[in-house]
Amino acid sequence: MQIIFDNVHYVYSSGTSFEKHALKGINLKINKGEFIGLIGHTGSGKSTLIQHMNGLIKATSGKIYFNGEDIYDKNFDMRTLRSKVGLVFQYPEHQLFETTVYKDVSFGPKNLGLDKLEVDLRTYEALKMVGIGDDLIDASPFELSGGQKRRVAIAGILAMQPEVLILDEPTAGLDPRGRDEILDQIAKLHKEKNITVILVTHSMEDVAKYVDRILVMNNGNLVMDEEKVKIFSRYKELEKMHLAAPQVTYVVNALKEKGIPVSTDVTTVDEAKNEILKVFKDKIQKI
Amino acid sequence: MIRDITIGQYYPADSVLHRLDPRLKLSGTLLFIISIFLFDTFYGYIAVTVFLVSVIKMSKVPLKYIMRGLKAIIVILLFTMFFNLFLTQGDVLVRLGFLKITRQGLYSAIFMGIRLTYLILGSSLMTFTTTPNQLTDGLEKLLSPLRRIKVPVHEIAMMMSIALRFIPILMEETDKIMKAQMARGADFETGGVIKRAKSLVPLLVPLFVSAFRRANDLAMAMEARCYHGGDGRTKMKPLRYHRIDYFAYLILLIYMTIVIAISVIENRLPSFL
Amino acid sequence: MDMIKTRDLTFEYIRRDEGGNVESINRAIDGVNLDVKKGDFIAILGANGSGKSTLAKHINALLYPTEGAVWVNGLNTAEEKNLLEIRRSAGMVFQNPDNQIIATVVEEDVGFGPENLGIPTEEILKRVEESLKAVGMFEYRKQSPNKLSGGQKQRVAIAGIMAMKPQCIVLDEPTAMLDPEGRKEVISTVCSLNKLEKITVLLITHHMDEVIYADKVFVMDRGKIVMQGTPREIFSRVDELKKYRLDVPQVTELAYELKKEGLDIPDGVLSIQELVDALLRLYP
Repeated sequence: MQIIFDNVHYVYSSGTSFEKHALKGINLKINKGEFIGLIGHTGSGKSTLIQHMNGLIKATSGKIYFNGEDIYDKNFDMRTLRSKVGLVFQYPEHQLFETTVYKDVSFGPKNLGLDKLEVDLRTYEALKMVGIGDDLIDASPFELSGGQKRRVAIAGILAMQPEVLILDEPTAGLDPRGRDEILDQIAKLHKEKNITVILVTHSMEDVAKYVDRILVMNNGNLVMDEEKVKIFSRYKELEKMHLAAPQVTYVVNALKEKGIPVSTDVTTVDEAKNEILKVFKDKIQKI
Repeated sequence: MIRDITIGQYYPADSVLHRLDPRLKLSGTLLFIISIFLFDTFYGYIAVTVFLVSVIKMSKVPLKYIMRGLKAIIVILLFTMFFNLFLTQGDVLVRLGFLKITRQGLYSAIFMGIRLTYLILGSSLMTFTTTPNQLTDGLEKLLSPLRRIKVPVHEIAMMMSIALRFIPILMEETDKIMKAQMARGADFETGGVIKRAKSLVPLLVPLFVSAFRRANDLAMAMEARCYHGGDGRTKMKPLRYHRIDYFAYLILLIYMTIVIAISVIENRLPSFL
Repeated sequence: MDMIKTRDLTFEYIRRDEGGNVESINRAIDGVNLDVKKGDFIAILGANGSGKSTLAKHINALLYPTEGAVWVNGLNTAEEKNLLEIRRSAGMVFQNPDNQIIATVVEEDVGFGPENLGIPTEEILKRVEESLKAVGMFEYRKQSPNKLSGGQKQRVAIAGIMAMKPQCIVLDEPTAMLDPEGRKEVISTVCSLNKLEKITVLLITHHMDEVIYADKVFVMDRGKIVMQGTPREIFSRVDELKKYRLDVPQVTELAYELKKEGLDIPDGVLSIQELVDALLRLYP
């Protein structure tokens, strides 16, 4: 078990009229190599939850373990945790600050106190992983396009070689192709390096396409934690929390309701296509 | 943490103070600030305290909320008090090695503390009860005679109001960038002066970039909404004095008379009056 | 008369070095001809950097053509004297909700436009009330914008435009920074202004599911208009859209794929219900 949350509560502005119970007794186990989707409407506690994972926010009560170690133990090194659990914030390109792409990406590894060779190695590797070519390495990050900036910023986290990668809406504001490029790269990374990935997103279609397991936050509670297909089959409950299932899930459910024998365990276009074709195969007209 | 700073924020409530004319509140605040520097005897401060407490009561802004404004200046406050306490010459009360506390020092430290605290409380009370737009309207109106000597009064007022609008947004942004850099292993807390100053670069550069971007966006949005300076502009909420404002001016006048009287009786009227 | 008309509109960003010599020229808009009728709901789709935002800024006279011309309500945007009237009649809503709200109280922000136009106080108050009601934000009129959600802030921004009594609203990626809920709020507000108040709408976006309500869709790529038609026509050309870095909603793609496999399904399916109905017709 890589990350364990044991009854974690978080209350902020405690004792004032702004007091808010942002996390209410979260229990959670995350295994190495999982690809997890975290969903919930704005203000449900998603951001607060992920910031606990790398120690940026300290729980009001409860325990968090990383690789078996209590992260609130006084001998635990928080900075190591931050390098092992890489957190990519929303609009990460807003934190770029260096004069060149190279310098910006190497900021993280340098902070880890690595030697020059290792910093170089990691920087180049990270840039390669996000598909930024050598021609841009000495460019100013401020001159890149929106999508490129985003990828450089993600490389800045990857260069720390985290074991867990958390991304808070990594595709916000990108066009459809830009969105696919980034998510495909993350999926590849997950597969090749066996990195644990936690994807925070509002797009059910993205969740359906990439993740295995989904966590649903509502009102500071972790209300669902199951396999993707099981979560989306509870789409009526999701709707009550201002969430939804992917469109194709609704299609197969509507067909099923009309008595057509399709499986409703369907969340992506490909799955839906195969499932529908199974039933409708004799209706295919050869053109 | 950074979100807790409440100076300069508006606190919506329905109170007499909220309804008063901003011009009155501006001049009232100015007079109040003058009044707290008029004397350094306890009797004088009783009058000032009574006035401040009753105004705070009338404002319907929770005391706790107002007090949070003090957090931001606590360092300056302690610093000032410390210097006054140890560096004033006079009758020695206590000696701590090479440091000594004098009676005069003790008094001036206490009075400085009170003055600064009241200064912040008084002026933040004004911003709590006055929307920035009203505030700038008031300022614009009060300063409008200066337009004759080519002071860009409208522009100054507009700049102020925009600054006030963006303070909380930029604070939140600072918080966010700081966290994002900490996630990349940045360390804002340890090291000497130079190291700490250097560690601010990853925070300040993105913050400036963002501020410029916002300024640019905002300028465009204002232009798109037909903003073209103060000429030919009308007001949605033009300033008009009501009976209550005249009454409040009267109270201010009485207050000032009382504090000046006390000050004269104490025979400590500063030379600038 | 068209609400918006552009002829051979071309715009170049020219970068100069310190000596003032031209360093590079980037043609952001390249010969665009656009005709928008009064009362239309037009959507402009395009990937990042396709020139769609630059185009929007021309309609509000925030940018001026390098070549060609733009007319709003018959007024040429290049003429200085038309400036205020153009900006009043074709109001603009921007992407970032925080960066376009000027005042610290909702109603004061909505009043900002009319104040600039020199409207008398009584009339401003009336307009502010009407506009806030039209976007469903009247009950928030005394609040600070900082306390609102993204969708609510955008609705306030729309009210701020409505208070200038425009004939047309140009929305430059108004939902790009919002969550799904906020996006729905904004789009349904825009739709109702178009239907009820007969406001011409020009919606710029790359969220494909937002354009299905439009009367007509234009697709931009590298400064040019490369596709145009009704949403149904556009959405039936899935491969072409993908070439321009765009996409279609999941249900449209599923319908397209099923049709490619030989099922008899209509072109350019826009909603879940349509696809379900089409499949039910096939199933005896």
